[in-house]
Amino acid sequence: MDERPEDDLVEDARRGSREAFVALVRLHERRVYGLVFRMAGNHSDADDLAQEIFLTAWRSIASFRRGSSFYTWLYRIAVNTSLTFLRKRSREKDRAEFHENMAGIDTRRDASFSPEGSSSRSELRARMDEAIASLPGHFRASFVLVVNQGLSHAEAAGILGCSENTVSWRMHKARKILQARLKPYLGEVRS
Amino acid sequence: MRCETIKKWLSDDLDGALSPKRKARLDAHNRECRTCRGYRADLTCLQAGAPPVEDRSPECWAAFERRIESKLAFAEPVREASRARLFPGRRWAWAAAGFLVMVAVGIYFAVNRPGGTLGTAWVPYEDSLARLLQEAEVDPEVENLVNRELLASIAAVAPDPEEDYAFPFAADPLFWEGLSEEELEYIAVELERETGNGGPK
Repeated sequence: MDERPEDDLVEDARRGSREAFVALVRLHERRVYGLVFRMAGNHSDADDLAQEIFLTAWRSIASFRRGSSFYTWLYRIAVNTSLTFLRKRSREKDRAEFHENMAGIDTRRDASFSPEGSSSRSELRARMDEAIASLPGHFRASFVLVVNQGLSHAEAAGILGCSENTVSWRMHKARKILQARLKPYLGEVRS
Repeated sequence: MRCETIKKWLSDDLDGALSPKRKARLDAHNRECRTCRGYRADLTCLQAGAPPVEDRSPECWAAFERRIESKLAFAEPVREASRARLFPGRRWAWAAAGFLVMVAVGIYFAVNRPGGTLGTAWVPYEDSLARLLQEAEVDPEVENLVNRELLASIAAVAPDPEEDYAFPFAADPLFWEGLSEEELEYIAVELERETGNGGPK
């Protein structure tokens, strides 16, 4: 494992050192993977996305400006790549549902599920995965950055390219949506 | 205080983004509002239940890194060399140089403009029609000549607009019947003077 400070690694990577960049990948892979997993919702897509993000970062490392934070820059690539992926997947899903509906196939999901007998916290977590995955892209990105990655509103705003107020508003809306969708499970966990 | 505002503040509070002043007002509201207390409990539960991404095995990460390394071997970072060669950190100097070249070209064409449309618009007095018109004022023969030439040149450029509707007036018997004796006499005199033929008597 390369023990050099991150700034040195970034500088060497900018000069074309693949070894330095691989060391940067090792430093950030878990956090980037955590972010894209929450955005994509499954390991297979998250794996592909994480690789695409690091390749994009490597190709455009020359455009990284010294003095700014490498992880903010990398996260911005990660969020933009994830949002592009979500838009593409949404279009493909719409197309697939259209074809299935045309073929007369019922695509409704798990409508029979009931919270009865599943009041455990693990059930809530499983349902929460689904609820987070159903949030609109920008809300999901804000929620994942702030709640899962532990960033402040200011840091998340820097990555998302918006104001702190926008992040604050999106967090409020995302929580309202999640609370409304998970109300039965939340009640059970609290009781 | 509206509960909707308090809910927004609750969200900010969970993220550590609420000012102490608002926090005090939030706590005061929550002491009295049961709905907002319930909402806060739900949000706290959500926050605690936010599932962490389960860490993958070291083998998974090793395989991930190997895949990245193999892809990096075939990918080259995009150099900013081409941009740097054109604008090596002196964009303002290049912009100023471009502006000066444009100004110089503009001045050159303004000074060396070939005698064109503007020059032909001004005719020396000797070559103008002023002298001819002065002569026409005193000599009826010249006046007729000038009038004919002018009318012919105008007719060559644009047809006489009166030509189109002059005929229907003259052809309409009601038009002539509606005129008084003096008017008919005046028209006849004018026609005789202009064409040598009398009009309708």
